[in-house]
Amino acid sequence: MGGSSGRLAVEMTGVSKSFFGQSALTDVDFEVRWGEVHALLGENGAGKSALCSILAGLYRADQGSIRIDGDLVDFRSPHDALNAHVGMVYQEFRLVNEFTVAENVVLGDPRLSRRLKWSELEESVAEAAAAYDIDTDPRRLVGDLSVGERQRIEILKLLHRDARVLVLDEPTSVLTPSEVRELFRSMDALRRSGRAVILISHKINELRASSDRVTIMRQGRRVAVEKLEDITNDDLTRLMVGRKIAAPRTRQAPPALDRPVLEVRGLNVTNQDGRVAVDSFDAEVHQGEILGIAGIAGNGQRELVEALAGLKPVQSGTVRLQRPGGASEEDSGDAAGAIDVTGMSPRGLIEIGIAHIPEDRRAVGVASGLDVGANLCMKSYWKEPLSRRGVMSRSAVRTLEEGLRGDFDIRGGNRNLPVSILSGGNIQKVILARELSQSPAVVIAAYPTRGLDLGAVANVRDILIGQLETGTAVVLVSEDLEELFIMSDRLIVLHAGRIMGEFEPADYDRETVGALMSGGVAAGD
Amino acid sequence: MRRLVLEQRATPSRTFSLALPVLSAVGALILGSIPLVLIGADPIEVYRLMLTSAFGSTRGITDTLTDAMPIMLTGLAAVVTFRMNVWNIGAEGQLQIGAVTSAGVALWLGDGANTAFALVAMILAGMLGGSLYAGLVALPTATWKVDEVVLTLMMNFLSLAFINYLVFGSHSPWRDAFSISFPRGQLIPDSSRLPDLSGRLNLGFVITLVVVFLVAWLLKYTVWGYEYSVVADSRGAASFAGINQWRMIVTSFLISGGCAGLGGAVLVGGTLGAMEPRALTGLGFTGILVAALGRMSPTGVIPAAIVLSAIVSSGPDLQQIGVPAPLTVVLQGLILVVIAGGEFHLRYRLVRAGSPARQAHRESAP
Repeated sequence: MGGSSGRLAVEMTGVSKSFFGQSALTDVDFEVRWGEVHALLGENGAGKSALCSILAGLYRADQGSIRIDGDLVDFRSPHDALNAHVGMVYQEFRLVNEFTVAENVVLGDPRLSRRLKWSELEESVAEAAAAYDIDTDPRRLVGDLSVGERQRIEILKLLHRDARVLVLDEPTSVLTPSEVRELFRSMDALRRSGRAVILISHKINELRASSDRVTIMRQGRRVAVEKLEDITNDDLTRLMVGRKIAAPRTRQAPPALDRPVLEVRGLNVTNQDGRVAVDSFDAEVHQGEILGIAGIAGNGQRELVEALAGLKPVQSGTVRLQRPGGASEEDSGDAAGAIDVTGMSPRGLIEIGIAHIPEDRRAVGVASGLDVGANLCMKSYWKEPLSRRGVMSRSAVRTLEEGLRGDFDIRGGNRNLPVSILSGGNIQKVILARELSQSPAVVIAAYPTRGLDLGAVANVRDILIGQLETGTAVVLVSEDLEELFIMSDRLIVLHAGRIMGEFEPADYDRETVGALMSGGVAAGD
Repeated sequence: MRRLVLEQRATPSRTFSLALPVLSAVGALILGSIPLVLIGADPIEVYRLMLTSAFGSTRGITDTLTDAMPIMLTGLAAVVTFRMNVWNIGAEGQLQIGAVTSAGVALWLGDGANTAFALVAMILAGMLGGSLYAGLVALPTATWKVDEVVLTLMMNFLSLAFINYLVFGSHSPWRDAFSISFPRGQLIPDSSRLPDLSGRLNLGFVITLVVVFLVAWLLKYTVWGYEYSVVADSRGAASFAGINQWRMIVTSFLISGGCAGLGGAVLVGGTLGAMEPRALTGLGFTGILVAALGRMSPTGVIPAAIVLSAIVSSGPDLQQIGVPAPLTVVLQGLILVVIAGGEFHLRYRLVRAGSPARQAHRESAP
């Protein structure tokens, strides 16, 4: 390796960069040694990705210099960076699903001769994989691989091009706990081979398990460089956020209610290809309770949520709702007052009290080109006083907006400006305000804190927990086990559309739940 | 060497968006001077003549406004669906069918009818005809997601063949029975003719303005308009809000077709006085140009239609100084090219390679 002692793997000095006149990086210094895993910690928007994108040749710095192994470089493209042995694994993988592992690994490699000898290529890929303890078959189609395996192919691709500085952008966000451990093992192998690994993350526990040193960024500046063994988690959080984050509001035990608010029995839903996406799903949620649904994205959560919102047809099974204290539905309900809402229209479900926090907040949660007011009235505009005889009341919409802005502390995006200019956290607050102001019986929240920075995460969790006091039941779909463990009163694990297990808080355990999420057995691997 | 690359703007530039129609017109005039110079005409002189011809006299103004009327309505028809990302390019055919139905009702009512009643009936018949003709496309589009561009385009050929058949290919009531060698449309009775306001300008212009403002009001102030804006912005959000998108697509098609059909009615009841196939072509397509020049705003079609009408109606006067009339069509085309270019720059800008991309912008966003 380039580990000629004393030289730094990466030395970025005084790097500044602005986008649209907004400063993303201000005079940042960043150093990584050979043979270390160096974590880059910061909230969303702190400049971690921008810094690494400059290092990997995707952007050019406005100011500052970059040295790789002591040599001054000026990358004009990711290709230049790779020639200097610097490569990056992005959050969205850049693989061709229809190609085999070997084809993907050598794709775009300038060293390829015109006439391809696949058996030799496959052999060389297999060798590279074996050298780094990456378990893969070069002949398999990438489309058939799991997310964790695909990520390893991305790393393999860089290694095959002889990358010596590897940047991993939030690599764990898509992995199960056991896959995370495997990734850390690979990172350790890279470290031992003398390479430099840069790990972008905002999860402190992961850094501790994998990294030697950490550079902390906040608002485009470097605020500290520390050895991980010398710094406490509290200090890391404080440095990253710049203030202390209050722990989520403590909550009282849910009031006992013998009958559930939402009761789902034997629910079957198919996806757009007609394949079974949700397979005999049974669950019930009680008043003032949070039911967590854990699972890796793509295991039926989307179809489940859409079926409960009335957007996807239910193949079979029933969904029943009992409005707390609502014995008034005698005509349509059964003896106990529960209403069968299976197959109801989206509008019908809104009116009866099922609220949704959709997972794709910018594309589905809001109409991003409309202003805050228009987005806030989206679930109630057809009622008085927001509209009368088919005509909207602008003043009523404005009053609603002013009230909810205050109640939910929504900041930014004045009248007539599109809601898309708000931060992710504020957009989520717009959605929460809209959904919760309808005093729903059940809130179905899909990944409500995904991609938000820590302050906003705490805020969203507080709002959801606060809502429980009014007797609302919450279904929380998430893949963040930490969040599910903090929030849920009960936890269901979903894999391939099936319920793999159900847990009470006393039995919450990362290993067990994680194994079930990836379809393994509860005994752990 | 620094490459230039395109980058998407965070939000469309606001000042630019207001100045765009003016800049487009200026840009088109500059580009348009190239063919003028090539044929040896003085561009300044030509433009001055166009201006005085279109707006320099009462007759010029009323002629310009009269010719603006149908394209204002087909422009409005385009705006009503385009804003929702539904592409009804069938205003051409809907206008033709509107002309057929309005002329049909006027001819059927005959001479003896009460004027006010006959006018209302003729106008409504035109709107309804256009509306239903659009509805034929709306249903398969909304129900089975059949491509509305292909359908409306095909329907234009169908309606063109139909109006030609009515006058040139048959002895239908729409054909003037006494026109043997040069078939013409049958004139409708005077009781169904729109009263003139000044010169050729007739009552249809007032009706047109009322409809334009009515549609603008519908879009901006009603529940229907609110639902329309949500569907236009995000189909996903609209689904989650329980908005019936089938209904929105069908209603916008019906309104769109109604506007175009009204265009047929005001032609038949006004300047033409008959369902005259030769005068009923090209108006729908010009409407798309009007909608683009009017920045997809319902009221924006008013100035846009007037500008385009002015360019075309000055054609005959230009011919007197030796500029061929088809050159006005070239000018129209140039305007479209310039607008399309300007529209592009509204959303993108040129930057040096290696500068920001969208991804980074997202990260640095407040």
